[in-house]
Amino acid sequence: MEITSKLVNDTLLATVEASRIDSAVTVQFKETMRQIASTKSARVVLDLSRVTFLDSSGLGAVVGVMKFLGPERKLEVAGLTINVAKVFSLTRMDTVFRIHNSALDALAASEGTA
Amino acid sequence: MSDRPPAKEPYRFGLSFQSSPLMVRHALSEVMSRLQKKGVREKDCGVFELALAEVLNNIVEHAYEGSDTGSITLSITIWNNSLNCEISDIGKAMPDLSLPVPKQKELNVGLERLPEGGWGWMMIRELSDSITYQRTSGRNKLAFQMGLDQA
Repeated sequence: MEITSKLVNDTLLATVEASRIDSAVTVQFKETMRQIASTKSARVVLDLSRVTFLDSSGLGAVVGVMKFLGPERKLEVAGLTINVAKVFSLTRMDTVFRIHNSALDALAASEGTA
Repeated sequence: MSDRPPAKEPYRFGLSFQSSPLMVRHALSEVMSRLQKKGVREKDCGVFELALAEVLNNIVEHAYEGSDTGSITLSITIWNNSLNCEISDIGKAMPDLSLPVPKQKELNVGLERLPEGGWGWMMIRELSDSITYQRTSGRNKLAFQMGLDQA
């Protein structure tokens, strides 16, 4: 599964290039995110704007990533498409994650808090 | 949007496939392409795909306990602005031979204790209008129904 990443100031932005995070790719997703997160940064933003399908196992994997990043380096998400947003709201995980409308918004939020 | 007249006959199709995450993905893709061809709206497709995915993941994970050699059969009917879906398998029965009653997860917990799953049944119930489960002759039969937006 392809995830591209770049460091913008203090933010590591990881963009999922695949259209689905489902049970077929959860292990790969977590492993790739673990490698990406080895680059030091204050925050990690997961850009999901290209993901049109996320099931509960995919959401579990995103929570798993949040856990291994730890409390000091919270995972934020950006660019939820309509079906992905639905999963976050049904499970009330929208109350756990900081959610940005887009990756650009997420990066701007960083400047605001610097 | 097409100006297709209302169908006079139910539209029905079926699929059979093996119980692996990749086969589930292929089956969902096949089902979605058929629904789109029949003019089912994108919003309804999204809701249905999610509900069906959760049912199928549950079969792969629990009924067949992760074995990828189990067989899953799907039958889908569109009729009178309603979408009916029957899924059957010959894996393990549901505990207590009934549909799980989901509880909302406690989220006001530390990071380490956040849930990483267990949402499937709550989602299926929220996304569908009705759902039934039967265990007969060693076969699980689950059926759920949802209304469709009129075109």
